[in-house]
Amino acid sequence: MCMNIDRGGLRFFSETQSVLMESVLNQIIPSDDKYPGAGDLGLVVYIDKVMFDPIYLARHDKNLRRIFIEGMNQIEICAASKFQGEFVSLVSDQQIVVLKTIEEELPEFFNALITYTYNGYYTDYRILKICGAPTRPPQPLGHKLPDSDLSSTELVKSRGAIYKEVD
Amino acid sequence: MSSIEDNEVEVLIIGAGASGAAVAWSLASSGIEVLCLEQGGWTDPKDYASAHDDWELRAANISNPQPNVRNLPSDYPVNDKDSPIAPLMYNAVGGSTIFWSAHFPRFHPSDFKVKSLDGVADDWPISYRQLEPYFDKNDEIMGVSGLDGDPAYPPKSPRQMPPFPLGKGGEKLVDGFNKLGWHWWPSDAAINNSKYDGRAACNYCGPCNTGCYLGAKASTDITYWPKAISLGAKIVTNARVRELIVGKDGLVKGALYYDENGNLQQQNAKLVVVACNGVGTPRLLLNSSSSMFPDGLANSSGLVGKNLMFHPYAAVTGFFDEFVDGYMGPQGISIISQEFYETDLSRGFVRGYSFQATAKGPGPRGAANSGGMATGQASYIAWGEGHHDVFESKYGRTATIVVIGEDLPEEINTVTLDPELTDGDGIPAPKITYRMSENSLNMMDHGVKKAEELLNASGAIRITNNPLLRVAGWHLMGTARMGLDPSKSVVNEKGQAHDVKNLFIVDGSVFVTGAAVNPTSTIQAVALYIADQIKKEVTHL
Repeated sequence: MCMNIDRGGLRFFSETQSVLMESVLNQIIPSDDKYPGAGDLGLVVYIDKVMFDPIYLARHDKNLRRIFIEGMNQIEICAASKFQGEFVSLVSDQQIVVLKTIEEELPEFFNALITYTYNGYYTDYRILKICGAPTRPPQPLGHKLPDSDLSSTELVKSRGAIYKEVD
Repeated sequence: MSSIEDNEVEVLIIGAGASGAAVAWSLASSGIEVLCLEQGGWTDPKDYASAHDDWELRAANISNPQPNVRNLPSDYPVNDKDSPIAPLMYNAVGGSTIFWSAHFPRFHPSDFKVKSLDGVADDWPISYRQLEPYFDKNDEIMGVSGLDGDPAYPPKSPRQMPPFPLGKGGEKLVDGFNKLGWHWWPSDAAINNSKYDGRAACNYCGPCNTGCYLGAKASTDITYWPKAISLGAKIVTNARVRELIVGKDGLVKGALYYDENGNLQQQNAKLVVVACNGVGTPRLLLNSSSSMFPDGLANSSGLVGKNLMFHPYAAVTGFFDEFVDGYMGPQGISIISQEFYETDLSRGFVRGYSFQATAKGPGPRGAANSGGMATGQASYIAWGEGHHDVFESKYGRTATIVVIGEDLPEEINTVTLDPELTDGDGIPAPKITYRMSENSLNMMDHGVKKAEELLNASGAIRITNNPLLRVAGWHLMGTARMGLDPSKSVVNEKGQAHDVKNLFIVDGSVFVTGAAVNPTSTIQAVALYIADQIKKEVTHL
């Protein structure tokens, strides 16, 4: 479990919900030798911000908070129904079964979960550094591209005009 | 409402985008008094996504090309539920050129003679040759980077700046084109590849479609408008025109508009120019009905809003086994191929398509959400075990061929007024009704197969395709078409409404056919041509 989350700063998720979400996020994007899991990265803080931040799609998605509350409830209902335990107490394979069931039965929630998880994960500079992406915005530095060899355009020209002449 | 009937201007332009800006400059340079009403405002480059840490998120949200997603105060909603293609547009000084890719090919001579050559659609009442001096002038003002000598066109005036580098991905595609012996050429781009006209050179940052922080990409707020304003043209921003009003003499008197405080104002003019493009123009005309024009202003033909032409877009993405620098360089331009442009009936369809090859892939967020396709569509990368391997096989390792097909005009493809949806000022919103023809479907199918052939020849290890992009309605044409017969067109060969002698339309809505290349260069050339016709008319009024 990620020990770095300031749970006191969360505005949407309760402490219990934030612990649940960490486990869920670690299944959505798990850790491997190179990359941390999305839960361990602390993405529950990002998704909590999304619920109130005016700049993102969430500003149009009046139902987003309702969708997430329903989604978290259904995860626990499904976990109890299939494996007689809370989601966080299940082993990994069981958690995956639960999430695949939710993916099928609650597509609106699951799509939102994926979208915001990926949005937060792949705009985090710690992840960008790992995958070799620039850890800065495109401007003002831009990038460098060498000039290209365009000599083979002579071959293209040598084949003659390809447009139709009209009167 | 305040009336300023005693404050009549010579020419009133509605819309400050690609065509409105060109006309404003041309008329002002001849000493004509010009006032433009624009429903958006001036943009600030500091607000463009590329200068912010969360640029990818902004690109998907407040800088999204879809007005229905952005939902800014300057946007109006569009009912596009009955169209597989969503129209894209932006309201500001500069219009959609704020967010465009600046891909700048011209229409071809044959694009103006489709009926004569291929027996379908109609001929334009003007020709490529008539527009040539206007194309050249427009290129000079916008600034074009490219390579002279493209055999897909008659000889053109020299490009102002050299062509952009192709990047590793582009160079792989060139290998493919050369192996197949197909036409390819570095794209003409209205982006500075070196300093030009007081504007900076591009630094290959990538997300052109979110606005150009440097001002290297030509948008009309930084090309035509400063020149027009220095010549005396005026713009009123945050001015949303509700309707054009007609006098008892059957001439347009002026426009009713909501100002930045939401108050209704009237601006009168001797002559009115509409420059709201293929959705905005018919919407305005249809919202301007009166007892004299019960079916909408200038609509005795019944053709206002009909013959909507998009460019159907398909995207075919090749995945390579090495990093191909996908996030660097201008977003939408690299290589254009017109190998399959002109009609060849053996292919099973009439007219043709172009390839626009971009090695520019999305950033990491886009790659994860779109499976690596540059056009940002397709489903997300699978979650769970194996996610990282899949991501790393996609991010920065793609090159995409976009197939752009020529849409033929059909009256069943329309822009009408939605019976319920309105904008923030209560003005009826547009409704799009559109479906692709069998000709277009056959054409796009052919294009996808040829694109796959090209990517194989280029060394792609895997190929995916999206046969029709929904978020691709950048090009909006045909809805107030030009022609000599008033029963079959809305404006004449001078861009003048058949029904209303002091009303001119100058944008893509006057297009008779849509070609298979981006229309903005041709929109602006046509606008400059019409501006010269207006100069002859305005003295008679």
